[in-house]
Amino acid sequence: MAELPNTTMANECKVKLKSKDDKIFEVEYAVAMQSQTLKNALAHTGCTDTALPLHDISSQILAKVIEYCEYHVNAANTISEKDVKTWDEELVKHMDQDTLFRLIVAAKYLEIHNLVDLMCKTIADRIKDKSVEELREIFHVQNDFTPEEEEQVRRETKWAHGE
Amino acid sequence: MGMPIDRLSDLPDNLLCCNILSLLPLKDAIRSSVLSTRWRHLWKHIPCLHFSRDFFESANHPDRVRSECLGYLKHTVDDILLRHSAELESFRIYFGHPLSRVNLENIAEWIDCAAVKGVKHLGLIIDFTTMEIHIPPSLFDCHSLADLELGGFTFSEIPTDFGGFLSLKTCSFSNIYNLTDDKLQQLIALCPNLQKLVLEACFQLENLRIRAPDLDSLKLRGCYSIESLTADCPRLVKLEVEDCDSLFKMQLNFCVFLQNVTASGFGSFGGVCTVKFLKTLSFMAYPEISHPPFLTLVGSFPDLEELKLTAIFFEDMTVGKMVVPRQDVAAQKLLAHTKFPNLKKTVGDGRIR
Repeated sequence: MAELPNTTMANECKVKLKSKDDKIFEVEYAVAMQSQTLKNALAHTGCTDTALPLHDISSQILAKVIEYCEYHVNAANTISEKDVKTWDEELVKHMDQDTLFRLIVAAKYLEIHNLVDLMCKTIADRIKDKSVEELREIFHVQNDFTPEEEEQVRRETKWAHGE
Repeated sequence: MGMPIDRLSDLPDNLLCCNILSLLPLKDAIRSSVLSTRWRHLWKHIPCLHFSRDFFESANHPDRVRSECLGYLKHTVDDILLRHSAELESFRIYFGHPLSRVNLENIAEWIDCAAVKGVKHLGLIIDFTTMEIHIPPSLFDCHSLADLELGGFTFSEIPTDFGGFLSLKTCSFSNIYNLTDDKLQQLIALCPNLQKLVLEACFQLENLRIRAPDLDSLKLRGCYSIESLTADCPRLVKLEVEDCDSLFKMQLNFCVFLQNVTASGFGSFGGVCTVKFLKTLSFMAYPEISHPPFLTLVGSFPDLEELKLTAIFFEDMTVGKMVVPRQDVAAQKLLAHTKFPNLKKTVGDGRIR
């Protein structure tokens, strides 16, 4: 099992990633290490010139993931927590739903924990305080209950629907 | 172009439960069960059940008489606990005013339920009560507790067969009546892995002795009756003492890692054992503090690098807000002289008479 034995090599290593649509992205080792999945993969292969294939992630989404990771690696000791938080908020503020969900799936697959958390919080904020009807519309959820079933579920959880 | 895709429902179960629904107020999370069959049972696997102030207030409906409100509250919590799935990581209930006459039996049952579900984080806050609500014995059955927050209860006895909260790392007691020095000491002795302790407005504490091998942070706030504090906490890193007006003696033994002491609102203050490695000492004191004991205190810290004084009034001197670095000549004079005749202002806009 080839490993990256010392920091110098780690610093010089560039990691290649290939998106679903065959686009190659090159990132610094430290940036790739933000992903637990890539970390594990690289522990096995060592620093390699072969691009790691990410079969389910499009180039558009991968670019966003890399943008996030690069910012956070650079921000680590130089930018205040408050400013990092502002940057994160700007990133997601006007993000369309489609991108949001694709991004969370990618972040989950790559195991980038703070990106997953950021995405989840954003989704939770968009769910909060909305009625069931509004949620069905916004998120295109198909209501597959029979009227009787729906009535029963509402009864079981009637406190949550009150006032 | 086909139907717009419902990507939200496509997310995996544990992402929806543990990462998204758990961030929502309980009401919103439970309401999601009506969205579709996929969502029906998801809320039952949320790892935390937090009955917050909002929940409490929504039970307090203007159209209901008080007894009905209590009934509604009990019924809803019972119902939710019953339907919720086996594991529960975090359970918090807030009881406010005026529904303060909560039936003790209910609380005991709910804690029992949480204990069975392996609860790790437990928070029971009674915001206002005109009657004594004793801590139910079932609390001591929550063996998996890692974090405990209690507010407004009355401490009775620790059960004789209590084996301790072996996983407890954080403990916060606020407005706990009848918590005496002995009882607290006994409890802490049974929580060997305790790391953070907060004691707020516990008025029966007088001579506090804390012996906790793993404690790294201790906060005392508004405990007006505490006169002395002795800490045998070899891992203590942070100490905060706020508004403990009667505290005149503080003894910190073996606290070689203590870096940070913040103190405010003291009465007169006595000597302290030498604490090596203390780097920052921050004092916000009020007029009664007399400076010789204060100097003794400061002199006990040979490694002090930063001494931050805010509004310390000595007999004939007012020291405004400033930071006095140890390397500064003025700081040396501060420590050497009793009357600070040549105190030079270094930073800030303190008033100096």
